[in-house]
Amino acid sequence: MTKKKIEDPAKKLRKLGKVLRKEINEGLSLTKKEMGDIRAAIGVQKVNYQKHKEKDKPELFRRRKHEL
Amino acid sequence: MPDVFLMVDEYRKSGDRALLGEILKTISEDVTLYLLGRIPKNDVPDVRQDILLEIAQGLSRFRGTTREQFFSWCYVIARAATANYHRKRDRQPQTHPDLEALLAIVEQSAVRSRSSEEDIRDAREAIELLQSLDPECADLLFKRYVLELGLDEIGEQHGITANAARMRISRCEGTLSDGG
Repeated sequence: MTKKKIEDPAKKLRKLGKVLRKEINEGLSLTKKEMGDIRAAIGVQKVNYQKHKEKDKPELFRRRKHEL
Repeated sequence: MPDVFLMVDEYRKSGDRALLGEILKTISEDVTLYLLGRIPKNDVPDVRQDILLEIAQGLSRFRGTTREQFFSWCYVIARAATANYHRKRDRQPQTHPDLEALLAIVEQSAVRSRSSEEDIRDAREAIELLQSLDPECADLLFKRYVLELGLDEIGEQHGITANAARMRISRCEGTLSDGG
């Protein structure tokens, strides 16, 4: 099969990166809640466990409390 | 955008946890870009969270001296997390990005007019050209131009020298501009 000649492939690939990054920023970026969970897990912000019922604790804590 | 490597360097000296939070926030876009096409879009946030935590826990042990080395190190962690994700589901790891999945994201961007027509056209052509290459070439070019990794880091990931990586990338590009 003969490939179509493509001008400046590097430029086009960089554009692909640009478009994908834009999509990430619009719909897939880290949410405040996710960032809050991570900050809590690495010890930047404390979580008052007594204030939270087990079911209300961030997913990350339910999964990882024992690992950290 | 702040220079993430300066932040990493500062964190290694100070151990400032708040700065660590900022670093994770800054690199989350790059980690997400790595994951797109390697795992289903809906599972990206979960896996990304695992990766960011792993990075946070290991960052004090990172010894690199450049931005490229830092991202390369992050992508090694991301690759392991992706493999783990597939293993848990008894699936073969997706070692190369799923180009159809990336094309779907580009098309979504076109529908929502989030990027210019020219950018969308170029992005479509980029996927077309990746599809026309053998998987190794597509992977090399993706790492070099989409993930923007340096030659040293690409070489390290492929078990070759930076010079060999440069030559392979150049050969891959050559097959495109020669018209096959």
